[in-house]
Amino acid sequence: MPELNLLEKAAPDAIIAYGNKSLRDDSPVGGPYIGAGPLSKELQTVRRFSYWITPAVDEEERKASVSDWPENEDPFTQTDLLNKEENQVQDSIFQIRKSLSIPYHESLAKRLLTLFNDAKEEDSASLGIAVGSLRNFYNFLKLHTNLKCPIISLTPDYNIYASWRGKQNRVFSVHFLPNADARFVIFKPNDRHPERQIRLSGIATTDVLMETVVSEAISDWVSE
Amino acid sequence: MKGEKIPDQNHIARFCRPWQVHEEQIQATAFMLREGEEYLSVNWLEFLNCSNRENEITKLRTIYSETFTVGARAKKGYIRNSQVVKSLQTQRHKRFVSNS
Repeated sequence: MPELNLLEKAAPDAIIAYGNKSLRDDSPVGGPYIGAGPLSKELQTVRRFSYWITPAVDEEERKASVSDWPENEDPFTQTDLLNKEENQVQDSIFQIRKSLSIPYHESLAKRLLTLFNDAKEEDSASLGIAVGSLRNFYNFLKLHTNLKCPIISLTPDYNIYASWRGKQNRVFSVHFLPNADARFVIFKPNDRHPERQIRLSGIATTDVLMETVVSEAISDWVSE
Repeated sequence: MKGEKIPDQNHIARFCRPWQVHEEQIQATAFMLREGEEYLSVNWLEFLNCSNRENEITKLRTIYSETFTVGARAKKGYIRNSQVVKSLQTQRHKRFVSNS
């Protein structure tokens, strides 16, 4: 974020736009600052304010911008925050794409990009993919490079939901939350009662997830 | 209508986003609650009172296009109500309603 340079030299013909009118500031550069006492020359700065509509006290809808700042780097608007998050998502997908340690890195990146584009296409104001969830998922894959490529979908909160499916309706699904936690569910056959199914669920941080479920013997069908 | 019990042999539909579908298979994420939802919102097909399934689907398309931003790749999931109840009871969702 660029910082406002308070030591910037003042220009004598600074223009202040106020509402739909432009007012010329004709005060002498070295002269006293009206109503605020003397201000040293170094602390004066050129700032141009533009308002979307005529500003009034407590008018919440007004927009003000400082013209010397690139508008897309203003950290205080929702749009810019969204753009930054989108860039982070795309960066993370790019990271996955070039992660040679993940055997299916190309196809996974392609799938993630499809999901992201689909989500953005239907709602351009959406996150596409929640960046925290995507990072959580990526960290998990980096720890377990022997896993088969999962089926990926997005939850209504745009979190990553990965599923591995095996024979006899075996399922291992993980919902990657943005805060390093993961919710998991396991479906597996009940050998003693073949007509029924065993269903287990829980929550764990992704770094210990596979250790947590190791007793469920899923690694032989979710791993290569 | 909300709160009415849907008979097990009846059918419900749920609007699914493309990112909840993989190779034409609707994923579990399509049945997760959306932000602000207190219950799973579905459409009760038999309640639409149409003569056949095709007409029900046509009517649903109209409802969805008025309710959602429907992209070219959006899907509708149709399922017998008893299957959904059985599946969702394991996820502790116990309220089933129709928003048609």
